[in-house]
Amino acid sequence: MSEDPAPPPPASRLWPLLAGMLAANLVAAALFFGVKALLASSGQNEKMLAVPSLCLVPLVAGFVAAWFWRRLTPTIGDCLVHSLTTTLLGLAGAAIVIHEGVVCLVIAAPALYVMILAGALLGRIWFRPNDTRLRLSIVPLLALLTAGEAFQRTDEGGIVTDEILIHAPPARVWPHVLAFSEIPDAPDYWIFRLGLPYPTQTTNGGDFIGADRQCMFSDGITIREKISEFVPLEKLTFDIVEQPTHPEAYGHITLHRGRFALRDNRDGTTTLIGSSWYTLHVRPLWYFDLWTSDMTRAVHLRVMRHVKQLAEG
Amino acid sequence: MFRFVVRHLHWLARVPGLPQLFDAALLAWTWLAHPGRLAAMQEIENHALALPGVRLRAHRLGGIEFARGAQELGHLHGNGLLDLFVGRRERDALIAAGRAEPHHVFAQSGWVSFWVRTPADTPCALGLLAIAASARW
Repeated sequence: MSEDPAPPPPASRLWPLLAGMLAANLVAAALFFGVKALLASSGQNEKMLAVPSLCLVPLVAGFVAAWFWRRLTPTIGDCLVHSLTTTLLGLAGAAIVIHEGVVCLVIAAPALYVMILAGALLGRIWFRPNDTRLRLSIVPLLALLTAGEAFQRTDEGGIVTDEILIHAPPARVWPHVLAFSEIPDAPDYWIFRLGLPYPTQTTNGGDFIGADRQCMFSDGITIREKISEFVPLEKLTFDIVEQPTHPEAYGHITLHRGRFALRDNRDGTTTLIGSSWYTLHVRPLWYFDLWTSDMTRAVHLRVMRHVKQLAEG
Repeated sequence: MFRFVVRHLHWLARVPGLPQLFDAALLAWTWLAHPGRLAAMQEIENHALALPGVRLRAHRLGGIEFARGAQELGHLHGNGLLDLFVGRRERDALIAAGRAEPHHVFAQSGWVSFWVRTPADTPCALGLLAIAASARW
């Protein structure tokens, strides 16, 4: 028969539950800022906010929470509910302490929840009161793994390319690629509506390599760019010379360059190809790159559809 | 989704922790889409723990494992899929009677699969669990 002790009465369940949620988030914060400080002291990624993996940190947090909840012998449903509360507490902390943006929190929330839940579910089994094996050693081991992963990581660049067909020859498209007036359309992409800055206008300082450009976004953000490749009617490449300081982007991503390429289809139409190069600093890379690609695509399409309207108009 | 992952991405199970993450995601989805199933899953777990010598383990491919000593009776995935070892003879009889399906990966083994979809499936699942417990006794 099972030797699990009977769960404590409801009144005494509250404190272990709260202690687990708080301890989980405190350990996660300690790991987060500890690894960041270690990296800064070793001269790596000084300006990066999200350095430790957002896969490993919440997993450790889930284990820690399960350790505090072990005498409550939580059910599967308890783990689901309490992991959600722990996640929400962590997100609120991130918003208050490091002023994390709403979009980042919304994007990170599902991943954080599943990782915390996985840790809590494993901990629920491993830390059962009648299990005498010393399973708590998994927590410092995972913490070491979290720190080690951040030091071993090599940044990998990403590229997103989109194209759009414009019913106008390159000569009519090209001027609007160099610069365009304010985009009047309201954003239709749900993450733009949630608060992610969206492009509104581009100005051009000259038609030569080295000329300054400015890409203006909502919320008053301006990204300064410098033309690095200029082939009239064919290609415009620009390097990003100043990273945006908006909380939704700062520290999470480094933008490198952008490019517009025009392909003359010889039938009075032009294919406009927009590309962006970036490096993501948040992990797990596969998860956050899915979102970044989607958001970059939305930025491209907003600009390219406006260029299409102007060229065809 | 589960079938696709098991069939085509099973090699990812070699990455430590990944099956457990996937199972946690399945469980979260079950909570959202089929909350009634969770109660049935919890009842199966409680019943398994009441069997002599049975304890819980984290299954290596994700989910909750019911074990007696070093032997596994079966495991319950986060989506409600219950896999049990009943032996070849019992397996054939259970499948012929429509009480279980061939195991979703090892169809020719002594294992069977049973989908716990609603609380109404609990009695059948508990019956299968009792057979699995006697098969390993």
